[in-house]
Amino acid sequence: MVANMNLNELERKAFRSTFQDGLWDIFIGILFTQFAIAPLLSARGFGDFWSSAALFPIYMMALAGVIVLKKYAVAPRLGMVRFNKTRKSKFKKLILMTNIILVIGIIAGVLFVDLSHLNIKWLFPATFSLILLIGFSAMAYWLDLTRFYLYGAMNGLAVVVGEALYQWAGASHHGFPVAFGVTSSMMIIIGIVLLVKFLRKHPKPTEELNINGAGNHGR
Amino acid sequence: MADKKESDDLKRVVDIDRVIHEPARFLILAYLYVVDSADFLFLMNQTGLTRGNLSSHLTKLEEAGYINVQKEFVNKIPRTILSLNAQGRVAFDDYRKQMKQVLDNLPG
Repeated sequence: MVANMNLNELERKAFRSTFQDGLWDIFIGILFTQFAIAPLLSARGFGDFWSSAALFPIYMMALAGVIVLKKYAVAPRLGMVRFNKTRKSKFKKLILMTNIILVIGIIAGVLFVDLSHLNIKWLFPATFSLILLIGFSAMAYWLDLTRFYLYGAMNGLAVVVGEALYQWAGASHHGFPVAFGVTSSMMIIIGIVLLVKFLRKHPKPTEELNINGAGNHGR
Repeated sequence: MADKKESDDLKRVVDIDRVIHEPARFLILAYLYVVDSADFLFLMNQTGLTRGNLSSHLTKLEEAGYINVQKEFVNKIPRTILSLNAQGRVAFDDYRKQMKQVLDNLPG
């Protein structure tokens, strides 16, 4: 037992358990519906800005839902844990990396609008694909969540597949509604499956859980 | 000379901390070693121990002076927060070193 025990793996297992409820998968999936729905709204005359802005309240509601469910459905079943400095430092690195990727994405977006007259067909999809792949891989690496590599590959591929559908099969809006409709649905479904499994595996304790007497010594 | 070494090795085995040596308590300490703190429910989920079993092991660890037990109320619900204290951390490190030495010195 002692020889086989890897303390780092034990810490990773404890950390991963806080993500086994699938709520963040559902939330990220809902966020990614933006790429599927916004182009359709834009085509109906909402304009690029308002078609994205119109979805903002939905994302805020989804975020509120995640926070409420974490507090009232997950925490009473999973318990509470505070992680050590190493984990907190990993989080800081992830936040820094996410911000860098976001800035690069915005710069790339602005550049591509400027360069749209150059007819560089695959440059935008390739860059966007790479940004998604790096972003999800960073999350997978620093959060120790293997399934986020899958999300990175899935969404990175979605951009390329969407562009191929647009160029060769005449799909509308660079194929985004189809490609991201599929990937965001998959992330939401995976999240729901994880949530149902979590709720089944961890019924809400009906009695007070603490130490019989141990917590009362000398208190 | 060889007899003295053998006797030292045996002494190491005898000196092993029996509070930590129990597998369930070792597992609890290992979890508390890698996190800052955790509540009773989280430890119960992670270790797979029953409520009574976990409770009795935590009592022994608290009596040995290895863990801090803190009770607090969150939304009027009592919660027991557990963390490894400095003494527990040293004891766990010592135990790991001793066990490694003992196992490394085993023949074959």
